[in-house]
Formats: sequence, structure tokens, C-alpha cells
Amino acid sequence: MTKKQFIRSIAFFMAVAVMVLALCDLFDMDNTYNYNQRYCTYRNFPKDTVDAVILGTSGVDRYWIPSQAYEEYGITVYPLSTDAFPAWLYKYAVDEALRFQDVDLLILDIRPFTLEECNINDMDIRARRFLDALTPFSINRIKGCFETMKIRDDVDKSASRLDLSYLFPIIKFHGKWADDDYSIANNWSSVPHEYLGYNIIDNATVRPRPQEIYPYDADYYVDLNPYIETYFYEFLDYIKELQASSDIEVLFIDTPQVRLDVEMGISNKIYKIIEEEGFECVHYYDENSETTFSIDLDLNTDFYNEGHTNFYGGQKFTTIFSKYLIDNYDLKDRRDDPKVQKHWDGVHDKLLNKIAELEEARKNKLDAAKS
Amino acid sequence: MPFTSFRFFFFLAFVIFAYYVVPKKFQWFVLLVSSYAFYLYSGVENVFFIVATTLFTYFSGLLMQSMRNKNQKKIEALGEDLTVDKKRELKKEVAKKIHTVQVITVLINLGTLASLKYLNLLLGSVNDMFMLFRWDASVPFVNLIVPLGLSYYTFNSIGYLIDIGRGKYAAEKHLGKFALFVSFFPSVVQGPLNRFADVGIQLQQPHKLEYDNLKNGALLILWGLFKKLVIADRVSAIASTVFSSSFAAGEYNGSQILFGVIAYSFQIYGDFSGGTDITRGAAQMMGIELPLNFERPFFSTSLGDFWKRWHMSLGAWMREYVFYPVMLCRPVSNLSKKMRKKHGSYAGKMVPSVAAPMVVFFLIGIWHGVTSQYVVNGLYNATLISASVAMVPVYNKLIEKLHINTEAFSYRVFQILRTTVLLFISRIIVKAPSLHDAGLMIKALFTSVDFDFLLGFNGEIYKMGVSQKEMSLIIFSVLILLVVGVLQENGMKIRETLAKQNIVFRWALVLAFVAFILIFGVYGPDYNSSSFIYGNF
Repeated sequence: MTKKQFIRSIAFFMAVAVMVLALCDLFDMDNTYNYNQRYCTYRNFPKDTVDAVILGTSGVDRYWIPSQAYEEYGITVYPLSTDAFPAWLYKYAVDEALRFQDVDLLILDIRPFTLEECNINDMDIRARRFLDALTPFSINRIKGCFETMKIRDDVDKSASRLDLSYLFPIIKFHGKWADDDYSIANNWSSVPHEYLGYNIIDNATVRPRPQEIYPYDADYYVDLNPYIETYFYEFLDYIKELQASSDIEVLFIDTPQVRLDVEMGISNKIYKIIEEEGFECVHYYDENSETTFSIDLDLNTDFYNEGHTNFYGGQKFTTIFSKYLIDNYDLKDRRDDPKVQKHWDGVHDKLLNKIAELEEARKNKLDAAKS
Repeated sequence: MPFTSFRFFFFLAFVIFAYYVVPKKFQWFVLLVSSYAFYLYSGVENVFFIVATTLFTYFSGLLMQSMRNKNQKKIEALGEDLTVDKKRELKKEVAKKIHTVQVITVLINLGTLASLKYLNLLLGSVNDMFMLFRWDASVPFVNLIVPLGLSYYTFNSIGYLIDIGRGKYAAEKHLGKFALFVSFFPSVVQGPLNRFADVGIQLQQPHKLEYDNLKNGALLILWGLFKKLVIADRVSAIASTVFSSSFAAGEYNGSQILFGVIAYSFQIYGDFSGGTDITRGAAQMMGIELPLNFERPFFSTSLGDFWKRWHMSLGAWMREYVFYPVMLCRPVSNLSKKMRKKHGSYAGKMVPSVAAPMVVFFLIGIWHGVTSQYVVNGLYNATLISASVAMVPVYNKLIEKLHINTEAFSYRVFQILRTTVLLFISRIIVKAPSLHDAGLMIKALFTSVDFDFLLGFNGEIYKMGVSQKEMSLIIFSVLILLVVGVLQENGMKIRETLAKQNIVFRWALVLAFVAFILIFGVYGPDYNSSSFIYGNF
């Protein structure tokens, strides 16, 4: 083999690698809720234009309307969430957030720690949702992949210890081409999110679904799942280390939802641990409230299911939480910053137009059903 | 370690790296260690059998060689004192002894193969017989393992023993190098069957790192993956939909069976030839040229031609070690002479022409499995091939009388279609749930044709295990396969032609092909990519 042939071979393998990475982007975990785009938008922001990120699950992106907070108070707080990702991946989500922005405040949704069971199959899907939302070559993604493989192996010895489909999702998801609704455009991750990460799930976003009241008992505690408890304490240690090496502030949050007693008991336990470990946790439950919530959320009109607010609930929550953030943290008004304006201005009007469209569609649907 | 797994390709990459990094005199050793590592991966218990076969064949070969050498020395020592007759007598005497050793060793090898592979099948048949006659008896099954690639390494060993017995070449003295011939990892699972004089020698020779070998080997592997993952494993859904249930249930008509048998034909070709391409490509990357096993069997003009293009290494093995020996053996010669005396020279010629294919195809049948379907299929092929030989004078007369131009393209198309139909029948015999179902399916093939189904007009074709999108992919992929086949039939050497193209075009084509396989192949944790069919034989 000549030197030229050797160099050509290396170049060819590099071309293959680039192609495989591109294909991994097109054939990865289902992008129904635009997780890829949410991360893409965040990566595209100019440095130092986001002051806080809210990390977590669906308990974030359906409650927090970043464009509204920006319009009302000028704060740039971005929801960098994926649906119910597993607790062991939390530290990688934080690292990924800090890779792109020097945020002053980390807001951490506690929902990843509230699961009653650590079902590995559910966790597998959720892990992939988060991992596949990151760029294929992100070091946090790679670390998260290996961590997930290790945990899968701990829980299920029959699973392959080195499951390359985590690193190269095309191995698992290449068959998506045969799905009726598959389109390249929807799966390409370098498309920005239209509403700065606020999650619109068509009808559900504007649909009210009345919820029952479950009384809240602040003294009722339920032990955490042992696996999850371990990850939780590991995560808290990790946050302590992070704070020791930087001046970043951390706030835990539990966004309001309709919870049964066991679920509430788990959350209470988490609040307690957080406080014991010296962190602050904001939640909106009140034993004395008729709705069980300490804020004005209407169980008849503000939720689209028991675990998530609709747009109107989200609007209320955003206003209240924005005020809390401004009152307690040093978040600047960024509305005059041209670097911020370029990405944040006008988004809220677009969102309101979209909501109006959805309301119109819902109204037409209801009218059609009536007639 | 399936050839389509990522694990295999990591293993192969590591072996190739080690092969070219070590000093050339140790290259064979790298292959031996890799082959046994590969084999160990299939289970420690399997290794016992391959080691036993290797040792037994190796020492048997040495024994035959030493008998021949001693005799040669004796002849040389006696020198000019030895008369021609005495010399001939000595040679004959030792040949007889060698023959005896050869027969015993071959039978022991065959016996091991038969007992491991067929004993439980035979016991099952015996129990079926008991049931048929309503006897209250049953023979218990024996708990046996069938080691990976048993048929292949046993046949390679038998071929070696016969060649040594015939004095074609000297027995290998180095145990390690002989063990490598028996266990060479790319071909131990599903062939091709190797000859020691060819592959055995190549394995011992040092090989330089050649760019062309790496490139051509990798391309061949890609082509194999395309055939296996994109075509075979995709169409397998159609074949299993049609052939999984008994025909008596009346679920499918002739057109659906035709569709199923077409799918099965592509499945088995894609599976076996794809696997062989991966095998040959892997070996080629290390500078080792394994024999060709397929030569576009879809373009066969007769069943005889088909067997020269399909599983060619088995065909060559059978020709060398069964067909000619049967043709030339004393009972067949005697019968031939008798027939010639009684019924003329044509009848005399026909005896070996019928006997040899009958034995060969019977053996090929039971090589695939001792079931009535495989045996009947073997006899079906043997009968047609023998009949076609016997009918040659009739055909020739017919062609002459009807003024048929046998050189015309249309005649070739006719021959290909005729062979295809005969092969479809053969495939149905094997693939149908039972012989009875096979009979009904073959009958339906010619009696209930539904063109609306075949042309996809009524949409029923998309209810056969694949969606419309998958069907489009299958049609496109099969077209690629056939177009490449036509080009090769016309003498084009695809890889050489590709190498002559501009680098941008060449790379774009190969990258597109890699992407095509990655996207459209059947592999990964959510798919049940089937194991290689011929790995079971």
C-alpha cells in the first residue's frame, strides 16, 4: 500500500464517519415534541445571552413560556428539557447546558426523581429521547450513552453490554423510513425551535380538561425508589461540586400537577432531602388551599391532563414564576440587548398567533361535533 | 458471531490489523488463533469436535503419506533389480492399503457428521413410523450438539483425505497449519468448501498489505451485506407468510404461491450468496482468494447449468469425490457393459449418466437434511438432470425439425424461464410445510392465477408481510441485483470498472451504497435479522 493510498483510505473512512453521523441525526429517537430543535435553538444562541436555564422534563416545557417571560420582564430563561429523562442523565444535561452558555442560574425540575419505579424499558426510551436530542459528537452524549449501557447491564444482564445503538441511533431507528409520517425535515436537528422551546402539542395545548382535587398532606412521606435515590444523591453531590467551582446559583422546582398520595409523598420526600442538603426548592402545593395549589391555577380550565398545564395554565405559571425569579435572583432585563433581540423579539407574537389558530381549529371541531 | 453483526466486523478489523502487523512468517498463526477464537465464541463444547476432526484427519493423512513414502523408498532401494511387474505389484499393494485407510477414515468422518447431524432426525422418523402403524413405542432422542460448520469442515477434511489417498499432493506435516485449513474462520460457518491444494496452501503463504485486496474485499463484503440485509431479510417476510401455514387451509391461491416462491428464491440466494460474499471478501482482505460459490444462478439455462452456478464449491466437491467415482466404479461399469450388449451403445452410455446424478443429488438432498422433502427434492433434481441427458438426442432432433435457432436471445430467455419454473417447483418441495402441501401448492401454481394480485391492482399484494414502501424497496433492490447480474453475464467486471472511474463518482457511489444498506438493511435491536440459512446445513 502506497502513502497516497493510505491517505485516501483515511479520507474515505472519515467521509463514511461524517455520513454515518449525519444519518444518525436523521434516524434517531422519535422527535415528536421537537426535542432536537429545542437543543438546536439553545446551541444557536450567541454566548452570554441566556441568563438561566430550566432543565427537566415535560414539567418544564409545558409550563414555562420563555417568550412571555421575555416580553413581560425581559428575562432570558430557556427551557432545556426532554420528556421524563432518567435521573442518571441529569448531570449530563447540566453539563450540556453549561457547554453553550455561562448561565447565572440553573433551575432544576425534580420530576426525574419522582418516578415510583425504575423500569428499564421505559427508561431506555426516555434516555434515548435525551441522548438523541444532543449532537452525535457531544461528549456529554457519549458519556450519557455509556452510563445508560452500564445501568441497563446492571438491571438486565441479558441486554448487550455494549449496545452501539445508543451511540449510533441509526442502528435502532433506521427502519423509520418505512413509517408513513416520516420526513427528513422533521428529523433534521439543525432546525431551530419556533417558540423558544415552549412545547405546542396541537389541540392539547389549548384544550382544558377538568381535574379532580386530591388533598395535599405536607407531612406524608414515601421512600424513593432505591435506584433513583442513589442517582438523586449522586446528582446533589455533583451540584455541590459544581457550585464549589463556580458562582452559579441553583434552584430546584416542582411544577404543579394533580398528584395521588403516593406521588405526593415521594415529592415531599424529595423536598425534604433538597432542603437537608442545603438547596432551595420551590413548589406550589398548599394544604390549606381548595385546589391544593398555592397559586391561582384553575383545575377546570388550566390543565390538559393531570400532569401538565395547558397554554393558559402555562401563562399563569410563567407570570408567577418570573416574578419569583426577579424577586430572588439577579436576572437582568435583556430587551435592549441586540444579540438577544435577534433571537427573542417577535417570538411571543408568533406564539400567540399560533394559539389563536389552535383555538379556532378547536372551536370549529367542537361546532362540527355539536352539529 | 453472525457475519452481519458489528461484533464480527470489529473482530475482522482486529484480525486484519494483527495479520499485517505481525512478521509474515507468523501470519498463519494469527489466523489460526483468530479462527479458534471465533469458533470458541460459538461455545466451548463445539471446539472438541473440530479439534477431534483435525487431529484424526491430520494423522490419517500422515499415515497414508508414510505408507506411500515407505513404498517409494522400497522401490528406490531395490532400484534396477525390480521388474516393471513387481514395481506395479508393489504400488498396487500399497495403493490397496492406502485405499483401506482412506475408506475407514472417510467413513469415520462421515459417521461423526451423520450421527451428530442426523441421528435425532432419524429417530424422529422412526417414531413417526411407530405412530403411523399405531405401535405403542418410541425411541428416546439423544442429547447431541451440532457444532458450528460441522458439514463444511467435515467435507473439507474428507476431500483432503481422498486427495492424499489418491496421491494428488503430500500430506501436510505441520499440525498448526493443517488445523488452520480446517478451521479458517471466514469459511468455517457456511463455506465455500475449500481444497487444501488451493486454500490450504494460500493460508500458509505470507501476504503483503495490498490496497487492492483491502478495497476489493471490502466492496465484496458490502455487496454481500446488500444481498443479505436489504434483499434476503426483507423478502423473508413474504416467504414465511406464504409458506408458514398448511396449504389445506386454503389461504392462498396460485399467484400468491408464485409470489411467495419468487420471494423465497431471492431470499435463499441473497442469504447464501450474500454470506459467501462476506466470507470471500473477509478472506480477500487478507490476500486469500476463496473459491467462487455462485455465478448468477438466476441466468441458468438448464438445471445442470444451475448446479454449476449454485453452491459451486459443493458441486465441484461432489463432482470430484462422488460423481466421477460413481461413474467409474465397477458395478456401474459392469451394468453399463451389460446394457450396451443388450440394448446398444446409447443404453450403455445412459447407465453412468443416470446413476451418478442420482447418487449425487440424493446426497445433496440429505446433506441439507434427512427429511422426506429434501430427499424428494434431491431425487427431483436428479431425475430431471438424468432425463435431460437421456433426452439429448430427442431434443436435438426436435430443434432440427422445428428449425429453432438455439443461438438466439429469445431461445436463451425461454431456457432461463423453463429452468426458473423447474426451480420454483424444487423450492416449493423444500419450503412447503409438508410434501402433501407442496403437491397442492405446485398444482395451484398452474391452475389458479390471479393477475390482479400479481400486478398489485387489488392491493392484496401488500398484505403478504411487507408494506407498499417495503415492496418498492424490494423491487428496486432486486432490479439492482439483476442489472448487475446482466452486466456480469456480459463480461463486465464490476469492481474493475468501478476502479477506472473518477474518484468523486467512485466515492459518491460507494458512500451512497453504504448509506443505502445502513438505512434499508434489516438489522439492529428492533429487527430480527435472521441467521444465515446455510449456516444450519
